[in-house]
Amino acid sequence: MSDQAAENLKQEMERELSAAEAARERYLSELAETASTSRGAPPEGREAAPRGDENPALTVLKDKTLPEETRVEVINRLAADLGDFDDVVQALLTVVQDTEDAPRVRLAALHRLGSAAFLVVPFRPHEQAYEQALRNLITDADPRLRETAVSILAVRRDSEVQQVLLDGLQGKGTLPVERERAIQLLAEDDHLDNLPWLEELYQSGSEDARQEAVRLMGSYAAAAKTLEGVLRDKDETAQVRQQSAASLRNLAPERFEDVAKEIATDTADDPEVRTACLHTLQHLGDRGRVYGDADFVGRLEDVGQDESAPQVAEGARNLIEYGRSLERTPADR
Amino acid sequence: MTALDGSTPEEDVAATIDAIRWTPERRDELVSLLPENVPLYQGRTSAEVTRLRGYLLAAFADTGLPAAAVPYVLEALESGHMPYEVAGAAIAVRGFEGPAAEFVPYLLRAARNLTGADSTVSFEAYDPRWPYAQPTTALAEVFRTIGGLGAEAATALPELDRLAEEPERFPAPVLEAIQSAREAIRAAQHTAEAPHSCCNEVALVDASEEPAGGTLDVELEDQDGRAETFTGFFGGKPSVVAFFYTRCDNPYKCSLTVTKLAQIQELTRERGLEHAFRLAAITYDPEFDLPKRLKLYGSDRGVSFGDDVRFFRTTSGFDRLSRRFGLGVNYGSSTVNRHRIEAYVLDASGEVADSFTRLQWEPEEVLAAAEALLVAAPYGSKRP
Repeated sequence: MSDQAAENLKQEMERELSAAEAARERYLSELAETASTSRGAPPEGREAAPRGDENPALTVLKDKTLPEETRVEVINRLAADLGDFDDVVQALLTVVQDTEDAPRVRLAALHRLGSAAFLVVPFRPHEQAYEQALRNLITDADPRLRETAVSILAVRRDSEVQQVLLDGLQGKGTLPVERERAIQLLAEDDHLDNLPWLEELYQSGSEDARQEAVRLMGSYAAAAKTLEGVLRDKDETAQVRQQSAASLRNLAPERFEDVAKEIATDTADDPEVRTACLHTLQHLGDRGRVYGDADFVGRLEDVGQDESAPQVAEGARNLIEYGRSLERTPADR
Repeated sequence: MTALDGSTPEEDVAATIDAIRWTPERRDELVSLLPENVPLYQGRTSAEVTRLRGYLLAAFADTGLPAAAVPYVLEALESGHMPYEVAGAAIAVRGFEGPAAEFVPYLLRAARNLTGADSTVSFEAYDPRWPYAQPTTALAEVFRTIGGLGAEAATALPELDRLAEEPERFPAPVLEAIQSAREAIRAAQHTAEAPHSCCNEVALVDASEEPAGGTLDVELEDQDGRAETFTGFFGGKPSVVAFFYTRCDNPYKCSLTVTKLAQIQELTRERGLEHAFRLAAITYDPEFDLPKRLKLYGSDRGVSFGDDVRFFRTTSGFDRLSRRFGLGVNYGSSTVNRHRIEAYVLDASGEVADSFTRLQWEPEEVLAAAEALLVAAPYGSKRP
């Protein structure tokens, strides 16, 4: 970069910085004004007005009489420099658990709390209250709040939410989320013996759900036969079959290679799946088993000449050529 | 007691525990449910096992904690990673009737492990539903137990004082428990005699099954896919073998065990003993732990594989292997649902010479046990 270009870049960055600082000052000023109005006119039935020295952002956040947009914007822009971390987290926890507050504001607060929780050390004193708030939300009337809270808890492998999901799936309780989603969330923990639920998800779910089901089956050795069946199923979509291939390879690489060889050389099968099988065999297969299989390599020669499926033919030629290049450069093996 | 197995509904198991809770003379029946490999845990999920064990351990606060149950309590405190079970273990300590100062390091270890991993739990009933009527947390229970030990927990005071000076690390209820513990210990110190040691009176390790001798017909496959037999590898010179599985989600068990195995390997190198021993780890989960997975798991934790250092999965005979070692492991329908820590020193004929089970072991002590075999019967560095 030339000196002139560097100088131009510097000036441009300084202008952007100034503009951002000015915008922030304007926002803070507006916030202070809104907060001042809020403090001056407590609506009927509200608790005593906040202290005059309270952070304007928190005053606005807590005031349920203000427009949702204003409060959501405060939540989205809340940062360490807008208030004491502990005060901000406390205020967010209050908003999230206030069932009379607007769901949109509560959801924004919940997302913001999720971000704050990444600051592990400063968040630690609030961890217990956060966990309790999330568990309280499992039965909230708002489905978005329920799903967000249940998802966070499931990722944390929270025993309470796992039991609620399991009870719901077994018909012993109300599911807080859709059945498909419940299975996916429960499957976050592969020590819960979820295979029967994943098989149900595969049988009854949408394409996305089926893809997720076979992905998650990759943790269960007993699922290998099911995965092989999905991989062979020409009525299944290419995406689901390819995910099934990845899971089968994870559990039983040799079995995967056998099936992939059959599919790759089956001219009646989906070209997309055949190409994916060839690609996987070339780059991730056991070289001895792939290139040592003379019958397979012989059939590949034919596939490489089949112009009715040019994409597959190219994949076959690439695989054969790759094998030859390995023979030429044994040191690369 | 009616035989309890994996098909017994959890509620029925809990009812049995509750019945025994108020008839302390039956507490040995609770002890008999503690080994991981009893039928009670067979086929259950790890979450169910955690619930059952946490509830069971907590019942010892009412029945009194017998010496035979102490290793299980210490294990949960030292290596437990599920707050409910750790809380149950902390509550169990309150039932110990003898001098209890030796529990203190384990309770402090639990407190360190739980920092940042605590959770709200409840023992008001078996598997209560949220919101709990009597919520608590594992950390709060740990500190309450420390406080309840009074003067016997005097050694915990420096750490408790330090924690009290870092209020930003804990929620308010836990801080209150820390503060109460400090006050209780200090108050008791004014009136109590010096604390006694309990350890000579309490068995800190399992009374493990004595492994039976004889040829062990077990076929293995190593991290490179090479076939081996148990007697083929574990013969000719002493060995250290640990058990693990790659999907273990407890950072204080398998991951740490394999890391320590790598440290033993490093120690043998430093002492010029790398050809004097064999080191191995065998997975509890042979169907899932394929060779590449074994290799990656060991390499990631510092193990350098070679002819004398190999990780295995069984390709046949795991049941025989399990019986021979009395492995402390049980399974759900898809994977391990519970296991203890276990490492063994084998002599040159593949027989168990020393065992390090349940509680954490140190690489130095395991290596010392292996070196003792060399002194007793020195071996060459060549495999037969």
